[in-house]
Amino acid sequence: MTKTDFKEVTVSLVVPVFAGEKYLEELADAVQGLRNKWQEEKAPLVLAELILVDDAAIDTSPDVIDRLAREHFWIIPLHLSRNYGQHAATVAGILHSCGDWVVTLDEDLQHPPTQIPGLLTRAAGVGADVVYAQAATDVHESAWRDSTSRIFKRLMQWLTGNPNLPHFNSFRLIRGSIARAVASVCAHDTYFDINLSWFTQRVEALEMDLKDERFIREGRSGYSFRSLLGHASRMLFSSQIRFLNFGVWLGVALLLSSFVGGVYFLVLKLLSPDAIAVQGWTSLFLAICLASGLLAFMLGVVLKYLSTLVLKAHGKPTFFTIDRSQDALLTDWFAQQKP
Amino acid sequence: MKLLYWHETDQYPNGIAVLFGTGLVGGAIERAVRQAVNPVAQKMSYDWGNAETRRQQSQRIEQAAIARAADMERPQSIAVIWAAGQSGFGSTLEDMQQELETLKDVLALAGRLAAALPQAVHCLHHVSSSGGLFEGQVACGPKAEPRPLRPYGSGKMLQEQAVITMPEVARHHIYRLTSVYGHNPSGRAGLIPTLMTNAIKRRPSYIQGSLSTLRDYVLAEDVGRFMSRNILLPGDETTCTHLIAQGRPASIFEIVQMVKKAVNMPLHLQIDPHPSNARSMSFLPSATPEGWRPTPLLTGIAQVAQDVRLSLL
Repeated sequence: MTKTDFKEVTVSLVVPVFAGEKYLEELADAVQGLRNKWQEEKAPLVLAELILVDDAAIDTSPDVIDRLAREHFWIIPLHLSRNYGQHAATVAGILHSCGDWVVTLDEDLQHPPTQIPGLLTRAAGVGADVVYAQAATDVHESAWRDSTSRIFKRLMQWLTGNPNLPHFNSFRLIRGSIARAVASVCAHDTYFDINLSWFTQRVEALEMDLKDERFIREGRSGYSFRSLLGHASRMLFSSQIRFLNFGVWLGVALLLSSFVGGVYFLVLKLLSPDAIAVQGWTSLFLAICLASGLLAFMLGVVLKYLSTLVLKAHGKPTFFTIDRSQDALLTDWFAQQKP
Repeated sequence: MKLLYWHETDQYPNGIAVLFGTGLVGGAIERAVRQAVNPVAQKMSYDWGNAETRRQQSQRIEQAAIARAADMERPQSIAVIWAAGQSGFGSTLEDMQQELETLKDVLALAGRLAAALPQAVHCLHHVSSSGGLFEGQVACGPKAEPRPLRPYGSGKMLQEQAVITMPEVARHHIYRLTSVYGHNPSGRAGLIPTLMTNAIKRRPSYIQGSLSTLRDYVLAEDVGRFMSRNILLPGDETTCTHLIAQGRPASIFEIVQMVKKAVNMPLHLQIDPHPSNARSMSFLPSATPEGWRPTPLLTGIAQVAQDVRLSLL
């Protein structure tokens, strides 16, 4: 199946696989169903490829992936040399994609491919570059698990200053050119979704019914406390600006307060020498305040420079151009589909 | 052009290869053949511009090949390889017509060799262009049909037709190559080595596409190795078309990032606001031939960066 210029919009699906032997066949069937549906409806959409990224899976998933790839020419098998984690596997998959839109989803069908048209409708309708799936109800059906997840995201939102952070979800639709650009600047210690904000501000969330069936059934989460800490540190190190600004402003505040305090105590000493009983206290206080304020400020400036260099090393772009002209094709098509 | 001939080895029968084009792809083919059978190479002139001179040179090449065959006592395989395309995306109909005429002369030579040495297996190896044939198509699978959009692509299709409709030669291999990259100090340089050279020399690079444009890049050495296997062991198939692609698209933005890391220097880019060559194209791995093992892009780019750096020292 091919596309010539702007007559069709292509969609690539990327699925990192770690323990998916039980789900992959069903997932491939579901994707095949959507692919056939678009073909039968003569939609201007082509489901071009399903990229299954074997992240050194711990079960027989690699064999299942290879078998599925032999059966379907549009399934692309990708085997990572070792276990790099879901994040890296997603990035690898995206870098092998060619679609005008890229959808990332989990292996275990908690992200149903049938929801993809909804994500596309929202994206094209509002000209968004990223649409996250957002669970309408509690995903894990466990008050403790769902509330800790919410608290974690809120805390990270506050620390990173990224307004989209509560929407972060591995079920996401991304404009292909942006997805590939972000993936190509992702290093092992950067966070894909944080890096997305370097390329776009047009981020949307679409509420849908999502359940973590595996957690509900087996009571096991894909995230251990250790992996959660890893996520947190990557999020912070990818978006360190707020911390560093905080350091600079703390230094400025210290410097100013030491200056104001210094002037106050100097005037006090000059006008009323008996008010400060200890000899030398004023000069010592002034010296400490000024020096520490100056040091904090200079440290903040140094860190700010460092952050600029780190972000440059991480590949933060000066600019990136985008072509959204294809969106009209989708909006027209989805408008026709409404009863 | 070069005339290569080799004696029988444990793995390969003896044979003769008439190689037209010694640029990026031709050079890689020669290196791969050299590595496998250590052939004797004879450089001969071939005039691309003057038809009359070409006719005389063609006769000399024919005589030389027949003489080498006589030295060999029964050569097993004779390969005529066309890796000499000089056209590009901007070529006109006239350019493509001229290239086709040159190719026809080479095909005529292959026909004469087949008639003169009927005991050997004769095979034509033709380097074509996926870019020209599939321009603007993405996710091309095994059944994708070429739909050329400009004279370059139509010309490449006509060349393929000319090769496969040549009855005098029994076997035809057509290689549809995507964007080939590699270090070619004396000839045309593609995007990747140009970016590297310009970065090292601190010169701006002009990008004739959008940063989002998708292309498929294959390393010249991989192409050389794959083609050399078919040249040395022609197989039984009569006509075989191979899509030689990485099967993994890369945007120009990604290539720029990779090159930046490989040369560890900033790139000064100038981007064409009205690019004439910005259509994306990509190919699924399922469309590539069995036995084709492309070097991962990151590794290939690092290798080329090393070669470019060494050549500029």
